Amino acid sequence: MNSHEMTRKEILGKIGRYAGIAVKYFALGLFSLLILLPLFWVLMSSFKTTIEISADPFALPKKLYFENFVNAWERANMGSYFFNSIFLTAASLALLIILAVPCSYTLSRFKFPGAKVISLIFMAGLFININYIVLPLHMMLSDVGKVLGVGSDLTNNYVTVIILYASTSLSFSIYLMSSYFKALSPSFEEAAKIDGCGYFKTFLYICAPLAMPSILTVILFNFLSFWNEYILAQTFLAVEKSTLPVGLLRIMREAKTSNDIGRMYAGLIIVMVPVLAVYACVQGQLTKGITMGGVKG
Amino acid sequence: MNNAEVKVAVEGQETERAVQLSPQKKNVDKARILFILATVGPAFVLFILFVIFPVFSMWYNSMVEWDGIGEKVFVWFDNYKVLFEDETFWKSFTNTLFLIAVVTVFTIGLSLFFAAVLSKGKTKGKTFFRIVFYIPNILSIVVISAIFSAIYSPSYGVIGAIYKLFDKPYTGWMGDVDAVMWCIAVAMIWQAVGYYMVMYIAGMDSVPDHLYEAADLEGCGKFRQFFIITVPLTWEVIRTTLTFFIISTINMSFLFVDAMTGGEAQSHVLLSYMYKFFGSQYGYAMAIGTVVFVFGYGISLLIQFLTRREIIQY
Repeated sequence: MNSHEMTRKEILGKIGRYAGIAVKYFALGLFSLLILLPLFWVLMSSFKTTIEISADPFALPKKLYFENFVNAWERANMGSYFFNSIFLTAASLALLIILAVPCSYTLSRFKFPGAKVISLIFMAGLFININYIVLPLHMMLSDVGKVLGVGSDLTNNYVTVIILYASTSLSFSIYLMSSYFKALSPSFEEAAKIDGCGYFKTFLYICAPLAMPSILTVILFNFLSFWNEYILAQTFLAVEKSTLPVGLLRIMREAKTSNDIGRMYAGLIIVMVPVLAVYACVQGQLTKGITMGGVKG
Repeated sequence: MNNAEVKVAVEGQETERAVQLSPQKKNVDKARILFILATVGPAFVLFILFVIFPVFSMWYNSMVEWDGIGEKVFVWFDNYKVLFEDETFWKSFTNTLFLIAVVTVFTIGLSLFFAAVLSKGKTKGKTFFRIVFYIPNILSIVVISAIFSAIYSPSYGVIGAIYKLFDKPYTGWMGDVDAVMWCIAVAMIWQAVGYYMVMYIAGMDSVPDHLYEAADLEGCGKFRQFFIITVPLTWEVIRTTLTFFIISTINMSFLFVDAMTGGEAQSHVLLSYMYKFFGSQYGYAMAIGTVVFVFGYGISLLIQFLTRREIIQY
């Protein structure tokens, strides 16, 4: 009787385990398909004519129709938006690194009056998102522009956008790097001091290179957020100065009326490819980075 | 040389160094102050000017009436009075609440499940799944909105084609008042699962193996192990992500709604409704922003308070 019970339990347990494994792989496979299929569908559609797309959204392209890309790149201005995006992203990254790396270093390794308060204020910034303050920022800068008598020169301005991108990313970047700087052994600085290095040299030649992995993570995360950002660019910059996501949004809105859908898919590919290429090279760094910083804005 | 001798020698050296340095000490301090100012100063000034100040200016300007051209008029709480009787504002408020609830529940559920499956235990293709699940998080919200708008589109979308297979007419879920928020929620969940999954994996990886081994020996199933070991021991991570969920859903829903809809009244969320008054009624927009601030941070604090538990040591 007892042994009979046992075997029944065992069999049920085994069935349960196999069912569990089946459910696990089914869920994993299904979710992967849900992510990959739409991307593949976009790629496929970008090579189809608008007529083909409307006739059957699932059919493979009859032949590779590159006209969509030419159309998006030239007539929808995605080409010039592409270079605007590269310029804005690179310049914002440069400014951010120049500001954030030294600041994070000093805040995590120096004791001075007010250091704690300053760190806390930067931490509070983790909760203030660029989307949330974009209107007050625009209002403030138009006010200043009016006082200075320069009109909209201050808002429709790459320098402004670069400064705003960098400023709004400071909290996250300083926070992410500070754990790295805090973990460095003080013996590096002591050795540098004995060798006659000043504070600036110690930071520049010894501590900053040691924190390189965290600096790279900061660059990576902010590359993604600057490249993908659109609310600030849309609010501040005039159409011809705009970035890729804003350009894509325009194509999207036009597609509703003009029915040029092929061009929209091509635009999607143009925005996605650089990001996916970077991701393919450094995906390990990225997922490690989240766990390092813990949070992202 | 034994330890005591070493110590004496080091101490001797140090006093020597201190004596040598003392005449220059003032200079050293100046250099230190200069370094601190040069490194922290610029970042801090920009941060105060362009991140902290706008939040306060928002509170002040919520009591102002301004069309962007004429003079600003201080009107005290008039904007709020109008706001609390504005039907579209309440609609956008309930839409935001809906998205916070639905997106949070599904995203946390899915990402905890996938994290549990992909952190411990034997699963083939772990790295592949991790890489794939994270992809949506690196794409621009505009890209994701464009993809989902295309999927839902009545004229060339996937859903329409499926309806056609069953010979049913399809007019587009995005135009359907009851369905539009679900459409946006699906896109938001699609985007967020991978990110939170990676965060939970990190938390789960630090749970010691022997707890699971002991549970296995006791005959405790994987399903129960998840609830009695994994969830309690990663509670702090889950709690932190809950707070971020609230704030990020408020922000993200704005981007998705702005990119996916044509600004119809029934599909507004709080921040997209605020953005609508950009260029026309600044004070009114700022009043909405202030309500978002109080609501968002209030609810985050509340959740932090409600989910507080003793941290389990292991």
